[in-house]
Amino acid sequence: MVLSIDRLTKTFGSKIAVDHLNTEMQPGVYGLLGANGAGKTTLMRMICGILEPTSGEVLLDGQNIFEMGADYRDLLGYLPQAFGYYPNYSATDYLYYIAALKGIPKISAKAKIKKLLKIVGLLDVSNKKIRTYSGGMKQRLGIAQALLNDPAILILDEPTAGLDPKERVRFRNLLSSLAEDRIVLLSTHIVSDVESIADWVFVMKQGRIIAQGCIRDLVEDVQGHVFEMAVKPSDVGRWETATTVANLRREDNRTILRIISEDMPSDKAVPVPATLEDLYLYHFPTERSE
Amino acid sequence: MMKSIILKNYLNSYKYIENPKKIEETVAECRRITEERAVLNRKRSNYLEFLSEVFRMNGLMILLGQMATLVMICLFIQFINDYPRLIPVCIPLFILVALPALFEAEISKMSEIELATRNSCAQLLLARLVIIGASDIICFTLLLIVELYCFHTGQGILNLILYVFVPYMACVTMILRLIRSGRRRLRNSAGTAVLTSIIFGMVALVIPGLYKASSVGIWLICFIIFGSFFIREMGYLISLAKEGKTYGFVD
Repeated sequence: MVLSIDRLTKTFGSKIAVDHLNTEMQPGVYGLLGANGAGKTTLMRMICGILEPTSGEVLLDGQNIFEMGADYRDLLGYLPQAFGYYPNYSATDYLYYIAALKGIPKISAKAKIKKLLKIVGLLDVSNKKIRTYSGGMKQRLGIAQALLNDPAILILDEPTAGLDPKERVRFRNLLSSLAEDRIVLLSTHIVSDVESIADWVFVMKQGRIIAQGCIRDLVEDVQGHVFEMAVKPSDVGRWETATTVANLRREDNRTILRIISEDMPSDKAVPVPATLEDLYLYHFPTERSE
Repeated sequence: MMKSIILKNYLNSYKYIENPKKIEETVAECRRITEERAVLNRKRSNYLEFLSEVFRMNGLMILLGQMATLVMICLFIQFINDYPRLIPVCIPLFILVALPALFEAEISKMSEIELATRNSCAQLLLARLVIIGASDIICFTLLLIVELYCFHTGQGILNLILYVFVPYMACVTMILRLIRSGRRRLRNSAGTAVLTSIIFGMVALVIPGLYKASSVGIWLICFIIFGSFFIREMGYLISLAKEGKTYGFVD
């Protein structure tokens, strides 16, 4: 199974949201990193076939997804960024409804729904109305609905938003277990999520993929651009204005700054090994990832 | 069939069984074919099952809204002398009260999820329209019965049916066009229903002669015109639903 994106472009008026994007995905977990407004959601919507591209196409095994229609959507599981739900439905009712939309007969949906509710930890509250759920619980329900049809292509837009650290770990483990034989594309600006599960990372900026590769290779690109140096606490503000400070920590009477910079910012600075978070800040210096 | 040939070609090309790349390719191809078969062999819910689930979710809301409108109209018309003139004014209100159910996905931000499921938005919209249409037929029949047996306004049954269906088809056709092509669909659709009602109200005031039994010809012409647009729009929706294509995209 190969999902190909061929010169995919989307414009909204004069604004180019996705700009002649080309890539290919085979089974595995793909992380889509980018700042807000980079075009991640627009790209994901076009991959799902719910947003019409201005030009270019998305192909599954060489077939245009719009021509495939229901056959493509049958293989698709999608969790949008703004996950909607019917507040007066219980989780069970909601999933039965989604099962009907996905063409799953009620009889086979029953066992599947129970299994998924157990996996996402909502079995005990499955008969409560969704409006009583916390943000994290709603998000977990969103993940359950995306998995209901056992999708071969799983598109998750900011899936870990609203999840607490324990839930995030559980979600990552779930995703890792699902990744075999599926294409999983998840967008996030939480670098640690991508770092722990993605086999391949796309970095998007202004509608274009500016970097892609496995995490090790991508991080290699920023080696030599990450430094640590100790400064007086009173100088921190000046350094924050002048450079991209990824992190700072207090040590005795000094502050240790982790600086992302093209050149060595000072003679006192020491090069340190880069991480994916450093790569993110290297490309998006005004953003600070969680 | 084609897939089996590909697989056989793979297997026949095994001159060197120790070639690990070839084995990997074969395993991957076998897996792909197995998965493809598994997807094809999946049991699917039929349309009735789908419709009943949509009815379970939206049916009560639609029925209650329509019945409440019917009761209010029946109470209101007791105070009106020339009641048949008001029928075309009231009909878009039945559509107006059904709009929250029709656009429930947009109101609850469920559009994206519903658009990305196997049963396309066209199928879902059609299912909701079937429920609304069935409910409307019950309400309109009751409204006509009330007119014929309680008010005795002297209008023929054909006239009364035309007073119901001309504004109904005009309003639904315009709303379907808006859903297909426009943004802010709920707001625009509600505006269309209200506007249709106002237009027919103004016509009733300005041209009262149009509501006399002798004007049936004009209504028949309107019925044919709006009917043809309505059938064309519904035909398009049904064809998209059959093909499993979406009906509009996200904003």
